[in-house]
Amino acid sequence: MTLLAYARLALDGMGANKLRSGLTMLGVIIGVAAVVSLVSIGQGAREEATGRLGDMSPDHLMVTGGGMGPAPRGSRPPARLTPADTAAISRLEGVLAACSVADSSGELAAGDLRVTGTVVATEPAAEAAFRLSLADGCFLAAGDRRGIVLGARLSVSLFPGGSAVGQEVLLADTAFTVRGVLAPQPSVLMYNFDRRSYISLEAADELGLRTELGHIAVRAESTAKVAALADEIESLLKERHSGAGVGVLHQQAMIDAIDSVLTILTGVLTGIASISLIVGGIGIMNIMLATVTERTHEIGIRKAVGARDRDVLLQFLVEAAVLSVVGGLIGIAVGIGGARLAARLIRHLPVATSWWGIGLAFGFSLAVGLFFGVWPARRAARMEPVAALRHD
Amino acid sequence: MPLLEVEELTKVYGQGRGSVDALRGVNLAVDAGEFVSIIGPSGSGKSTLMHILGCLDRPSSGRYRFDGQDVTALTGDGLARLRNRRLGFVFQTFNLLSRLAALDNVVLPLTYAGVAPRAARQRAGGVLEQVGLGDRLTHRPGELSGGEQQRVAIARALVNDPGLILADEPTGNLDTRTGREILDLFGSLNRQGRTLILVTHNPEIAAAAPRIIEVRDGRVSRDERRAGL
Repeated sequence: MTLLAYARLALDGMGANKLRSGLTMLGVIIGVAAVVSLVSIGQGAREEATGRLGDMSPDHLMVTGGGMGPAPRGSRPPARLTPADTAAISRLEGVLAACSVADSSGELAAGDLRVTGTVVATEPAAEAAFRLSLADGCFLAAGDRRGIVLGARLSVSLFPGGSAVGQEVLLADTAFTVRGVLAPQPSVLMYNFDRRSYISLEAADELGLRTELGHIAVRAESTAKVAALADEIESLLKERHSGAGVGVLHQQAMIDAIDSVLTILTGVLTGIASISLIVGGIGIMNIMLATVTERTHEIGIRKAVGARDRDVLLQFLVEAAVLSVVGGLIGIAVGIGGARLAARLIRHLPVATSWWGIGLAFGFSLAVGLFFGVWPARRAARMEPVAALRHD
Repeated sequence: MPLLEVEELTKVYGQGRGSVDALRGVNLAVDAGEFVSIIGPSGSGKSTLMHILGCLDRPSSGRYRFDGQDVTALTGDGLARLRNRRLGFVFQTFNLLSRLAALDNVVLPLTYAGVAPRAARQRAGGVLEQVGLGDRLTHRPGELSGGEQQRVAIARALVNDPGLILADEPTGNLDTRTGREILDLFGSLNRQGRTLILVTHNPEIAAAAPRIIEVRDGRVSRDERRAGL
């Protein structure tokens, strides 16, 4: 007998009890739909996150004393970075620019207008290191103790009337002269560059704003050198600080970290969804067992006219497979539709249809159908014809 | 050489103290072209004997040769092949698949024999014609009378052109007149050269066959041929 003949038998068997076949498929449909939609949403989140990070400069490195987050117990104390470290890093080969960065919050005043923002104490190299572009004026010069550079929004807030360059701004009761205004820049993650102002490290020292360096910002000559440079900077600073903890972050490392977190998250969600697929598979087994019992007499007749064990086995196995394949196909459609609907109802929910997710769900549902179908089918196949015939 | 031959055939159901000896050593031989009735009261073991002869059941011990082949040595697939190609069954309760039309019921053995669907349908239609049901091909069993259903079952038994047809109380669920017609059909099949074994508890029906074998308590108690019939 051909597979087509078995498929015809299977469809005939399913058609004999449409309601039951439909309910059986429902389990598979829900399982597959859950897997497909969750994988789609997970995949979307990943593409969104790495896409956003991808906007950041890929040639940028961030050097901190100690890694991100709380230091693990028993680890080395974090290194206290100094401008001398910055100077040492900028002398490394492959470094385009490096600057010290110390962030603090401060209130700027011009006339009656007051704006709170992030005050970044840094060095002239920041212009190149952060790839800042000026809309007006110039960046801080070396040793400029009374100069300030404003972010685009800050400038508009403080000087709504006209040009800010050359005007005076009060920061912690000290007068600063605006040297330049930055061009608007897209914000990246939590950084809003347009609300930042830049002063020199010396000025910050005088104001008592700076306690220690937050980090050192480094820009590499090319993206290809970033990973190697990160290792080099780490060993340089370990040497300079006699082994104290140092962390070097760059975009690819952050993308990898976020990606691995999202992969785990998607995996966990998919695993949970897969449980419903297994439950669906048990539903198939349950129905197949009932079908085999109900059709024992039919099996007896088929055997009496010459069906081999294999013929009976395949008849029921193909029936289980058809149930799960049809259920799987419907489930995929429902899953994609569900994910699209969720994307429409929940703003900013990124959704990306993932082909491997669809393949996985479909393959898994077919495997579940076959796995849970084998036992009932074998039971049917192994019946002695005379015993099966006696069954009513 | 006889078409089928059994020696010291036994069948024990169950095990240990609760076991039942259905057959206690049956010996018989049937030649090709014979028409034989197996008769006996219920519980005599005649149905068990017919199931073993039809390869629907396996004996506990003894030998069974069909057309020179040792049936007891065959595997499950070998038995299935034998049932498919060499044997045809007719049951008291017809045993048709109720979801299938008459034609599809008759096609069934051909499907398992690997005959292509188109050829199978043609052949099945021809056999149904032969048993007088040429106008009932698309009817389901539920839409047919008892006699018609039994004719469909006979067509199904004939369709693979088997060497032996076994009928187990084929008239048991039919009225006397229809039963008579079915027996006449068997008679004409035998005259065409078919070997037939008919199992019944009814001596009148058994008398349709020229040779009557009586089974009692799991043994052959009488085996007589009537000449001139």
